[in-house]
Amino acid sequence: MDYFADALVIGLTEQGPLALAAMGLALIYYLNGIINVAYAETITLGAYFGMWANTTLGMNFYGSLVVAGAVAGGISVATYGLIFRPALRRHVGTLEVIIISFGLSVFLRHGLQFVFGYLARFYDVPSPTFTSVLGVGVTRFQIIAVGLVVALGLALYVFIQRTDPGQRIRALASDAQLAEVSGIDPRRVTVLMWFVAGVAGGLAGAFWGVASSVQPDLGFSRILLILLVVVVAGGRNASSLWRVQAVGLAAGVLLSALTLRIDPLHAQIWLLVAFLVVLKARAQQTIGAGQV
Amino acid sequence: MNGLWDFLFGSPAFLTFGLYTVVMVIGLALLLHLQMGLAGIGNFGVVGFWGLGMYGFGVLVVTYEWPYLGALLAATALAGVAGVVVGWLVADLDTDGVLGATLSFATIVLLLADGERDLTGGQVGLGTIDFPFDVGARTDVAWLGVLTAIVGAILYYVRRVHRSPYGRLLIAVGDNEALATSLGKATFRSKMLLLALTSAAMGLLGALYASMSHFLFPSHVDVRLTIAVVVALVLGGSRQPLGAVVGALLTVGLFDVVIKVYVRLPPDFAEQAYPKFQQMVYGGLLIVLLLFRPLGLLGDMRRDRLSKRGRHG
Amino acid sequence: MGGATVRIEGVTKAFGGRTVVDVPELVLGAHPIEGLIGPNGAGKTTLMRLVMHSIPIDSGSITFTTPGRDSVVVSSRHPHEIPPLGMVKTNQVIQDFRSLTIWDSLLLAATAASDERPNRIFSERSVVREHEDEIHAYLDKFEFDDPYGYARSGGEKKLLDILRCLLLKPQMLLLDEPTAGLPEDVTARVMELIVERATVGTSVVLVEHDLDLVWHLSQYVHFMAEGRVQLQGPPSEVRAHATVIEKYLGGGHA
Repeated sequence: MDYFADALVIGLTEQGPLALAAMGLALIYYLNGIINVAYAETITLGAYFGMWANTTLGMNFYGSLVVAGAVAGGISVATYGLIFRPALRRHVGTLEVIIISFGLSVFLRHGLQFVFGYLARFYDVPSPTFTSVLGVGVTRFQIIAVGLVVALGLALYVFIQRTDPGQRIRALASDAQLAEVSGIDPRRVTVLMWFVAGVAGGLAGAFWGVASSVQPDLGFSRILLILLVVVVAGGRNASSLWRVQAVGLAAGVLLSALTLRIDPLHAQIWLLVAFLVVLKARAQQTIGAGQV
Repeated sequence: MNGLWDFLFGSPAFLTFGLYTVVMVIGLALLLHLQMGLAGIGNFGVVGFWGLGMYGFGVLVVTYEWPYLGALLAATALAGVAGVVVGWLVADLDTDGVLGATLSFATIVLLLADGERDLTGGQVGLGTIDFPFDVGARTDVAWLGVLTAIVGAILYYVRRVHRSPYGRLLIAVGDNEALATSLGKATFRSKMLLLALTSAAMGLLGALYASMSHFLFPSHVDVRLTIAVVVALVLGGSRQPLGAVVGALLTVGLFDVVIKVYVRLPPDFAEQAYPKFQQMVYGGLLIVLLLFRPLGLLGDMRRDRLSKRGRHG
Repeated sequence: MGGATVRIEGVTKAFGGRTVVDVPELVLGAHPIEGLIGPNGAGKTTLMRLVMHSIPIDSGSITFTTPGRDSVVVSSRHPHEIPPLGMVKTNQVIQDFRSLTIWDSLLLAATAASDERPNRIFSERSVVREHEDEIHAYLDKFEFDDPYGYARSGGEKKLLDILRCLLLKPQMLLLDEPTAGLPEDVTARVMELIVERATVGTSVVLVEHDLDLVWHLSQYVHFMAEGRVQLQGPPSEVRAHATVIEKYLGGGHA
């Protein structure tokens, strides 16, 4: 029983940011159908700017969180405006958009090193105090991270399902042309969603950054898991965001459970294999989508 | 002829290495052209198959002391089997699924190379792997020749595919898989078989590289190689075989041969900033090309210039 | 008769909770040419796609029988296994291979799978020689703008779709609105071919909105509406039930 409690607590707290980032990526996927690999750099840059606000501007962690989220949100919107919106307007194919996002990711990941350097940077925060949850020591930041995951999930649910702008978003996601015809301005709604997605990513980056270090590949080293959560949770309907949150948290717990038994490297391999199994099992459902 | 001889054999070792990389990327891009340009499979795990062949070969030769040729064939077969498995996984997945699955595969190969320390030496590295023959001080040039012959054969095969029923089938699968299925074509099986063959070839290229590199590190199995191959293909043109050649010459050829060898870069710039600058250019190229000229320099297939017209035409 | 037939038993299909097809019992192909008519949204195309297993059935079974052979339950076979068994379908919505020329497209349909293997990279010449006569017969009968180039108009692509299916020499041919988008003279020539095929033993099912064509060519007509077969019989009988049809088609058609 201890093992499961440990896995659960560690999984939720250490990997809380995973679910947060997955929800952000899922927002973009939900709205525009794009898997944006460069979202990794939104995460990374959030971490860097948060660290910068913390160390250079002297803000405490919570203040730097706001900076991290805001800057990442802005960067996300900028990438939408400069690259993804033009791509969508030119009707660039799915595969090509993925490759574009890969290119953007590479570009940003190396470009940022000319600004921030390539060595690991660190947040300047007091040593964490640990509170015991179910016999496992967790830090306050980790608890906040999980709290944010849940809060964001709830907020998004309420926003998308229960509000007017949310209804517009749902309409846009399911049929962009029809939505436009009925007078919804896709641009404002889309910009808002990309901003929120960016904020989620930036916050995740800050939490990851403060827990270990801030490096150029902070986001990219995690983007595979993040996109697997989104692809496996699947679908572009309203319940998808719930599923993404659930799969993201479950993946975190599974990873922790595995790491408690076997070394981290092999734990990651088994986690990936688990994802591949689920991916294949769900593959059957794409039949009938066409018109032949 | 003398000039070429001097150029190759009188040149510094890193020129040969640069040329080797260019030819190898051409080979990998040609194989990716079959997968992506024809059959529509967005394989982002190129370095995984290449790395599996490289490390498979390395482990057999160094850890198990297998003979060279046997290890080479076994490594190629291993990559081919991986191709069958990955092919089976991705043949009925949509683009996002293929992205996730192929990236996962490449990551697993990297994690194994890093983690199976008893087999691969992990971070310490695996070596020493020599050339299978010795023709003196410039055996590396001879090895470049071997690679060029093999990549030449791959190019020949790819061109023949375009002019054969198999190529027509692959193009149909990439264009409109459901329609091909409705004509009785076994599209799943075709994609799986294609991945098996092309992955085996990618593994072979990896295994050959082991001799050139002499020492293997997990850091070799890096997404950077996949990116270089994709950029080369996209720049040259993913729909034409020669696109792989043109693209590789203009990217790897430019950055790893022409500039590195002939432009005198300040040493600390060359060490740290230049590789990052190179990556930024690659990334930027991908964005700009796919937005404004997605078919690359050579443009689309021109099958109207290719078709055999039969007796009547 | 004695042509190929398809037996549809207890077949239902629902999309998002809404039943679009509900056919307890239907036999297609008992006559050389049969019509399948009905208003938009009746489920005709969905039924055809279920028969070809492009989409899975929710319940029931679909069996395909060719004369002299055992029946095959096609609803449990992979979609690509069905054309080799002898049944093909054209597409209501235009479907094309954008990178293949007209010549390519036709040759693709005609070429056997054994010639399309990765090792057969020198087989083009013999494959062309094997099929060029029949392909040229079609190219001569129908004037494409540029037979060695790409199909330009929707009409050319539609025609190409039909010719591809004919090249597969099916024993059962499902035509889903073949005339939509085709100029009149082309339609006439296509129908000539279809009737020729039917005469020598191919069962044809014609899904059509052009009712004159259906009354003229078919020996039997099925009328579908709201996912069910409402009426069946020889053309004269079905036509006589003008009121039923009008209720669904909105008058002016009988």
